[in-house]
Amino acid sequence: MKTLYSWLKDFVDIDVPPEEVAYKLTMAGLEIEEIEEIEDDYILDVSIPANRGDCQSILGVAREISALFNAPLKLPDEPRLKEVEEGIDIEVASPELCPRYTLRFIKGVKVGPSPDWLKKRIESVGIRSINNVVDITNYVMWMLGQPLHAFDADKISEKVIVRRAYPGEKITTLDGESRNLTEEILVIADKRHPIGIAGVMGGEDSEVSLFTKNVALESACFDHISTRGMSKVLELRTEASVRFEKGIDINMTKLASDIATEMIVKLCGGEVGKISEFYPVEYKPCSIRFRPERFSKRIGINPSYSEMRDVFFRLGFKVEEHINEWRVTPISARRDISLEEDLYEEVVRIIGYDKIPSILHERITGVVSTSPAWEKRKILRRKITSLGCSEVITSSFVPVQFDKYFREFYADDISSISVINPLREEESVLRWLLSQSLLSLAINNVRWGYNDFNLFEIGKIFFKDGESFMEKEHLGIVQSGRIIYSWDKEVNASFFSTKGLLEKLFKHELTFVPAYYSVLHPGRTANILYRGKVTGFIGELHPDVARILKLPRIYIAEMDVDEFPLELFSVGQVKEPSRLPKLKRDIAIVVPETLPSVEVTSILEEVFKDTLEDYELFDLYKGPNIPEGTVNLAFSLNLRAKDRTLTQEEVEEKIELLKNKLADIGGRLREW
Amino acid sequence: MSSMELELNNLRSEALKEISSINSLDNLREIEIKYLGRKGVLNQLLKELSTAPLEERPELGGIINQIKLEIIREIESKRTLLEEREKAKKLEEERIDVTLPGMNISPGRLHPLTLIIERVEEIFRGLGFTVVEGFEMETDYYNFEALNIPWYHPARDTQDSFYITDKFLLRTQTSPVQIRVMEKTKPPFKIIAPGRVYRRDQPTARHSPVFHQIEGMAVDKDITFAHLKGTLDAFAHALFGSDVSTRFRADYFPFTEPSGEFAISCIFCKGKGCRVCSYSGWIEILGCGMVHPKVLEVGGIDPEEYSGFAFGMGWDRLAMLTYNINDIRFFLENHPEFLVQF
Ligand SMILES: [Zn+2]
Repeated sequence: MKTLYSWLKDFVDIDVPPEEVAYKLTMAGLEIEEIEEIEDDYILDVSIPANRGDCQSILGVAREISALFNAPLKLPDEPRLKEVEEGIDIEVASPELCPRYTLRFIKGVKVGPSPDWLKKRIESVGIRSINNVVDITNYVMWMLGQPLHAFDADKISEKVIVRRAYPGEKITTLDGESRNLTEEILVIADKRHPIGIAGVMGGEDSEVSLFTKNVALESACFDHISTRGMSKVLELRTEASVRFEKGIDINMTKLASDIATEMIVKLCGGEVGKISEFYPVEYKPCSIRFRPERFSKRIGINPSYSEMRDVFFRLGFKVEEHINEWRVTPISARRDISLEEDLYEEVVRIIGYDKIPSILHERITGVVSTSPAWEKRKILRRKITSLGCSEVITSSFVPVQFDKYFREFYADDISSISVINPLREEESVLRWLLSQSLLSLAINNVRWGYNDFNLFEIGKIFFKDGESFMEKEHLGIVQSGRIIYSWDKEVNASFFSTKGLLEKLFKHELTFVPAYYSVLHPGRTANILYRGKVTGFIGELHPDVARILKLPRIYIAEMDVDEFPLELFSVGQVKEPSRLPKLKRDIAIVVPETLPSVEVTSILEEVFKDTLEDYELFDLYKGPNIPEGTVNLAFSLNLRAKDRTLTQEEVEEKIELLKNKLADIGGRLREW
Repeated sequence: MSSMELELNNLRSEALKEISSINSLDNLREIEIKYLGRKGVLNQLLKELSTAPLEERPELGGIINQIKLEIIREIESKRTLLEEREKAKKLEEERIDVTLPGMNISPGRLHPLTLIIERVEEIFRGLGFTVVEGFEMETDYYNFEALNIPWYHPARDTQDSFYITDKFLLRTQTSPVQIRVMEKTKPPFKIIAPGRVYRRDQPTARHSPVFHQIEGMAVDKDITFAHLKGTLDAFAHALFGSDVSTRFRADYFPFTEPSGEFAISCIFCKGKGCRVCSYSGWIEILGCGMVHPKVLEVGGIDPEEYSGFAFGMGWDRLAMLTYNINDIRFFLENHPEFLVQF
């Protein structure tokens, strides 16, 4: 809200540069975003916190300045108005939404342009000048925080009724919009129809124009909750509605009306008529307990009683002191203060936050442990980056075109989640797999001219399982192009480069089973099982899909990290290194090429049992030297017994056994 | 000198001549075999010695052995020479252009948001905090109601939400974690809760509909605002250096009372005023305050017995400040040229 420095000074007696005022206000919670110098004055743009309805006026800001600088506040005088016997009846049919309503009749005004000083003042704070009557209502609203509305009294039929709109009623508001009304809208109506939307905007019909002779000046207090609701429903926010929403000082309503009335008859002529008022229950602020000892225990400072008392006095609050417990009564404008802690804030705000010392609290340990998911993520991140894969963090929204991608990962009754009110229709779907996000990123990478990438993301995915909304943490990997390269050699991304990452990360605890995903290559896709449960998948993007998306060969893998215990990733039971020699043995096995290699390795494991420390497939050969339809698998075995040196004879015995087993699956050991 | 002696002398000079003229290790090996082999010339001579007169044998034998030793010595020194020469030749052949570029083995890099949170986590862990996490899909209750933000509260205006159903939404702040922790945990505790949040804002350089926050909370008997200041001062000094100044000013949040806003002296202009700090010399880092008594009550904690502080900061913003990045959208865009710099 823009304020004028000279205008503030009308209400508070200070003699300091505006910068100092701006600084103190900012530190006390009313941030001054800008000081603009104009002619012989300054404009201070105050940003008002949501709870400080009382500061939505020159008077309110001046009150803060008065408290901060301990300078006297000059409240406006109550005008003495000479009234003639003429008025307009009012009826408040919805008192729950309108605790106070006043309507002043003013007779015989001359509507015209405002005097220059008035025009200048309101324009400097950003209000458009319309005519003298309307300008005065805006001027007083800005000054005192009480929204006012002037009707052309001759357009009012019989009396004014504050009531909920009837279904089907319509009104054309001052902005020229025709609006359909519902029962949740509070209207100001006459005998025939609505003439304004309460607290939001007046109607076009009853607008004050150059031909207006008699004015009905409304000053009222509307419920902040319902005003906010109406403003939302109508998608209409005005200076008035904003003030009602944050809450106005209900005890200012009549005074504001009187001050505006006095100005109108002074500047526009006419006679003051009667004021009709509805205010059945006068609002009196309640006193609040304040315990100085507890204040010190919560804030960490010990101001003297007189310092604290002084703060309340400067704010205009009343203080009753009892032993250990005071009763403090705020002014009626300060509806934000209802709890003891609210009073604490007032004290520290005025004394200054800089007066509070800076003290480290002692450590508290072992009560809440850090989330295992967090620790797991950290370990995974460190491991996977050490393998050359780089991290990305993408949006949770995925392009709608990828909505059903990788559908096969989930059971049929699981569905993706969309937001009801997206910013853009094409970004309404929450990802149910990171692969969707990574695919989207791959498209961007290629468009930006980057065909080589090796990326991962660890993040949340979302889906709906029956009626429950599920969030899980996944790991996604996408690889394409060259992974390692130089002018003399290169390693390209492949199914196996991606698989290798997973094997290293998940310590070879995974099983890969061929699987079908419509967007993946039918011959190069697998589900990944951990302890017999599908926890992920891996595959090459289907060439048809790649062509449509203008992508090169892309390899994607995704794992449900939540399914893996933290222990899998941490250091397990440490084994003592063996000092016995390792026996290295290379063997070549020829098997039908349709046989999955896992059948061969499981035989190796079975035959050599615990003497097989580890093994490596170091060559795979198909070609003229072996029969057609077979493949030669060359393994390098590391053999070692835990308790003795393994003999050549023992190994040969096992090799004989291996030969027999291989024969069962149609394979044979190939002699060198 | 006997004819035998003469013959030996000739043999010696012939052998030495032959050795000196040799140019390859292979030829040297041939010569070695020729003279020193089991059936070589010298062994043959030693055998033939038996035919010589008995009294001459020792002397002739001595001469033969002497020649043998001499040949061995010559061959060995020749071998060393040839081996050196061959090695030198091989090394020369293996010469490479050391100015050619090396192999491109890229390290896996962490995302800048990760780099920042790891630093933040380390700092707060050192201060006795632990890390907890919450849900990104929250109910209206946890995201607003429980945090003292009823449906009509004006604070909702700045937190326009993405709704999934009329009750479920994407959390607009990490603060719901406060409630979830209090519901489960008896004080004392100190937690930070980093995570993703969502607001229905048009993406601009400063706002992203998907962004990240770090929530913090400590609850114990006798926690004061001074402890909040101490904690945040320690944090700011650890993250931005001990030479930054810090400032607290009053602010408003529905779930803290009193509330404050925490700023550091501008790290770009050292407080003199620049574009980043809007010429104020200060950069706002976070909002904070003492946990509102109503919020403690909602969490099942008696505000007469316990007190606590809480704070919340923009994680992306912290990264923007640390790396002097002007556009928040870079983080989720993941352009390779952006990421490669971290
Ligand atoms: Zn600066």
